Amino acid sequence: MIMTIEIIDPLASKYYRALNPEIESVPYKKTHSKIELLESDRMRITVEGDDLSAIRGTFNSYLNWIKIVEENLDI
Amino acid sequence: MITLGIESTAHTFGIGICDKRSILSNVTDSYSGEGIHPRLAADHHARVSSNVVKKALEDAGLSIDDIELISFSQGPGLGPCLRIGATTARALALSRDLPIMGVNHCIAHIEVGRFLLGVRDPVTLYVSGGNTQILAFAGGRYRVFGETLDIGIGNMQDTFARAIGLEFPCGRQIDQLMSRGTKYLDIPYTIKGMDFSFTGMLTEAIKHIHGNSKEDVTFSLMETAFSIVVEATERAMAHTQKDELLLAGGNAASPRLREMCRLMCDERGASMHVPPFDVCRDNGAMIAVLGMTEYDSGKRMEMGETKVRQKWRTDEEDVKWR
Repeated sequence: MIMTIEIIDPLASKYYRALNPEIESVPYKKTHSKIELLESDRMRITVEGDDLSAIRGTFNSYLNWIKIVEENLDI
Repeated sequence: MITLGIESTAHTFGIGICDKRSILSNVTDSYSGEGIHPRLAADHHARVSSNVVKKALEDAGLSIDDIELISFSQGPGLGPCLRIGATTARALALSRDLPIMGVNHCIAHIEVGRFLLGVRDPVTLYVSGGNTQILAFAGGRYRVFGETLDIGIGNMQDTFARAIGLEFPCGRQIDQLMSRGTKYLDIPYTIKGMDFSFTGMLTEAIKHIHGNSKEDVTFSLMETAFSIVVEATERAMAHTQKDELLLAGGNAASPRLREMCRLMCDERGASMHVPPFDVCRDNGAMIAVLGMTEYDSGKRMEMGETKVRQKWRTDEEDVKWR
């Protein structure tokens, strides 16, 4: 199963740069994930796996990190 | 150079700010629960991250525009917790196009002692929940001269505290119980060469709970554990011929451990140094100090090199600033 979310936001390129270093260390062994910066304001996260709970967990991690980036960019 | 440091290796999320002369602020917010659940601790850190940054800036009387370097704990530690700190660091660095520096948490405990107390070249006894190590500088790196083969001394203390019904954090209560103990019960003295082990003595102490007072069991367990680490530390000092001891980590707050270290140092003609408790425990100020020190030595880090290193050994890092 492959699932994607797209984030359209003026800060997308900063989200991408902040999240990309951890792409290999996402704590879910049951999934593979990929982050792409499609345009300066458009980022795509793709998660692939057979276990729906693991896919959800992986997306949760990414969304959690995006929230941290958003809050700290705003300080 | 005004540096903001981020600590998030385990249960503490901390932000510290320092300049070349002093620590300007040091704010921590800790996850508390029974033991430490990495994901729940990471959720805690994510919740408090930006507020702790704001509080640290406020305490220092600065704004984010005054910060010149972002430093963070890159490892070792719990992966989910480390990633929150690393993500916070990248966001802050990107927000103002600031340089970023990932540093080793264990080395930060040493360097903050050198920065604050003027200690030159110590043997460091680093005692905390996650780590128990005897460290000293030799051959361009901080070498591990002795360490736990299983759990940290603080982890042993916390597990024992739960077994006798104490809540986390329990350090002060353990110190009080220990000071009232009068009868020494048999506890295995598990030291092998320069390394030591705490799980066996923990099991034995838990067996002693039935039929003995909490005071006597706590006294026996902690006296044995402290004796072991002080013995190994003394041998490290003799081997390296260093005459300074630096105590670091949360367990450095223990009056009995300090007393034993002081006695050992007095007998050797060595000096003992303990930073204030808020920089002894896990904190962001020590991360800021080490980041600033490494940056000043010429080290630089690209954003792509900031992936967390959960199992980063102390002796894997070349120390270029000494």
